[in-house]
Amino acid sequence: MAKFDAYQGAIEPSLITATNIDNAINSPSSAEVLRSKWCVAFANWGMLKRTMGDKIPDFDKFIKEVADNDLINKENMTLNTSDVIKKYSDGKMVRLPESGTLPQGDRQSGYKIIGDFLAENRPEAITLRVKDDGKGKGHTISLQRNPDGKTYTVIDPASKANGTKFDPENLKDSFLSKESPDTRNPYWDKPPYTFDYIKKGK
Amino acid sequence: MAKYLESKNYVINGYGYKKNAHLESVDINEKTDYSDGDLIRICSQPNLTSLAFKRTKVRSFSADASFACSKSNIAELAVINLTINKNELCNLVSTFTNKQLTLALSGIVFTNSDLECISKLKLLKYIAIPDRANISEESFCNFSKQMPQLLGIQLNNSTLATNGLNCILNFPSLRRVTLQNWNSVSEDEMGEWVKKYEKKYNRKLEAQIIDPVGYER
Repeated sequence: MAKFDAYQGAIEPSLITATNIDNAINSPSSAEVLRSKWCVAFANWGMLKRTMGDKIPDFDKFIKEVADNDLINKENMTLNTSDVIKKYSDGKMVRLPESGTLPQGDRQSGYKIIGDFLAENRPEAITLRVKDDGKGKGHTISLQRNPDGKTYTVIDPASKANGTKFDPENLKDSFLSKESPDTRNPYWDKPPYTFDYIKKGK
Repeated sequence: MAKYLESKNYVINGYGYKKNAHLESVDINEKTDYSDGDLIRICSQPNLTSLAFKRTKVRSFSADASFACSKSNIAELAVINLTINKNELCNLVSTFTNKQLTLALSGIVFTNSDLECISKLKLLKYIAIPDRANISEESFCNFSKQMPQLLGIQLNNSTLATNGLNCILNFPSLRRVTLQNWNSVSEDEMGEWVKKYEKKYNRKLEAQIIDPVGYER
């Protein structure tokens, strides 16, 4: 099984691809709406593709498949994450922290927990709920391991965080976790919520 | 100095002080054991560029601290998730009137008088205004005419409508904007507005106007 070392999803599918998806799944929503709501699907596809390689179809085909299997809502792209990971990977989805959510009053602590996990376990990829209002409204991105085996690249075509480096051992200078009020980072004041990885073995 | 500050629960450099590093940023938070005089010592650190007040009851400068901090190399001031009244906020930001500052505000009550106070910082470079800030169109439009050097603005979840948006055209030097989730302006309209700004000033504007949202079950 070939695995990709390349980052999956660094370039967001074009509006044309979105339109093709829209038509293929016969969605009541427009292509633009699908594209604005598919971050959970996109991040999980990225994590799967990075981990499982060729076994995962291209994004448009992936959406069609999960839609046909009733694992995604065709109107608003709500994804049945855990079932999708179970179906497409050689493992299962584990959501961290086990306690529920990362500390919502302390952004730094949250990123430190993520950093410690990545430094110790070095998964090929994780998805990260980079912000959430506690009522289900939020944004999901993925972090994918670099060839150096230790640092990660942030995959988030919706923001300037896309393509930036995340170094579990240097959170101070990593774009996403930086505690600087850098207004280029749309998450500068948002604490991370949860993160998922694929635990091997069924 | 770093050891002293960490022993009093100041947060150094975001994720803690590493030996031989420069002391570049200091956070004062709810666990900090603050003493008068600390701020004067903090602001005297030559490599200090960033100061943040997070969830703390400490939210004003004494005259001496204000003087020391105005002479510092601080380029970023953050005030996050705390209760602060307009006089306290004005006192805090006015310390940096002569600085090319990034002012990042989040999770605080923010009103027209705060905007008015900030308009005195003529060298202000970047400002993040809190989500859902309670500011009027008139007040914001006045503000927009007084900040010739402002390079970037974040204004999310605003109740301002199209007129308020059009006042952002008055800032002559913007390079980036973050304008997400305005109640009365659609993302399409925002996109059109960005083009309007770019056309007016004949340069590209880095714009974060989309707020992607995804759900799962």
